[in-house]
Amino acid sequence: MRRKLGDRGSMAVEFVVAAPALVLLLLIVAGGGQWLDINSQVGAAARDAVRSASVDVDYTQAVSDAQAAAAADLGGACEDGGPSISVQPGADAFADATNVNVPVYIKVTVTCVASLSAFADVGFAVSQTFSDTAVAALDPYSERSSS
Amino acid sequence: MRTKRTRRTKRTKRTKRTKLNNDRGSVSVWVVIFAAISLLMLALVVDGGQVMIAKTRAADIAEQAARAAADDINQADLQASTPSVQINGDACDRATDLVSQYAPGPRMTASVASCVPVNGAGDPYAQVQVSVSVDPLIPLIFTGTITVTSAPWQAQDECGTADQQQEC
Repeated sequence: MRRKLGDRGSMAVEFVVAAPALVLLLLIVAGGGQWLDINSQVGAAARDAVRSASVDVDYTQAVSDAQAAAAADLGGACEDGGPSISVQPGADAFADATNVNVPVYIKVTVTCVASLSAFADVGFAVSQTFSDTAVAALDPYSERSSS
Repeated sequence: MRTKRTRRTKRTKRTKRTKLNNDRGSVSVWVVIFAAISLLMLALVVDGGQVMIAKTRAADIAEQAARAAADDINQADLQASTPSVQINGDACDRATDLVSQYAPGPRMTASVASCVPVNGAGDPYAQVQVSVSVDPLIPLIFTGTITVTSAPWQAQDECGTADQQQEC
């Protein structure tokens, strides 16, 4: 009786073996899309952050504005309490950027550790560090302070 | 039909491939087709997305490059007895300098596509276009380097606007 069934059901058995691989392929496509989305958001956040820091006259304000702009762009996408930023140059160089012949650039790096939720939804976490740097010129005609 | 087929394969002991007229292995054909389509989709999602990212990146960099160029104001004209704001002829060096600090970005390079300081009637401004080139991560759909160029961005120094000139 069993032998007469021949190959019946073999397709189903093969499919059971192949299904996880197919699901994994779809996950990789979805994960790739998410990776790209976060990458783009981090880049945009860095450029917004540098833009808002570059118009400030006060270094402390510039750092907090850069942080606020990055956090607003990234929303809850980053783990560990939101994006972290670093602002270059330091307070003194920021305040002294008033020589009209020597341009001083402000550089903001935004770093975000994010989990790709396409993978998290099926039970395993794929976390990655995303980072991008943006640069803007400081207007030498503005008066600035380092505080 | 089905029994006939199995009988025949049994009889020949499946020595010839052409006689293996059954469903075995048909899923693996599907898996191969599915994998190929998935890979093409991944290439489209990732590299198509990279191109869109490059467009916003080019626009944002052009904006900052135009601001940097517009800060390069001729000091002699500004301090003359009748002060006027004129952007220096070499202001575009500052735009190039700024853009070079963005390049190379993540899989992208940026360069100045065009830069013009405009000192005509009205407030002077600098106009900059930036190009961003992307190398595709999965070169299946987009095979070569893709270059996108931003729209022209204009910027003027605050000193350059008529109502602010007294303060500069």
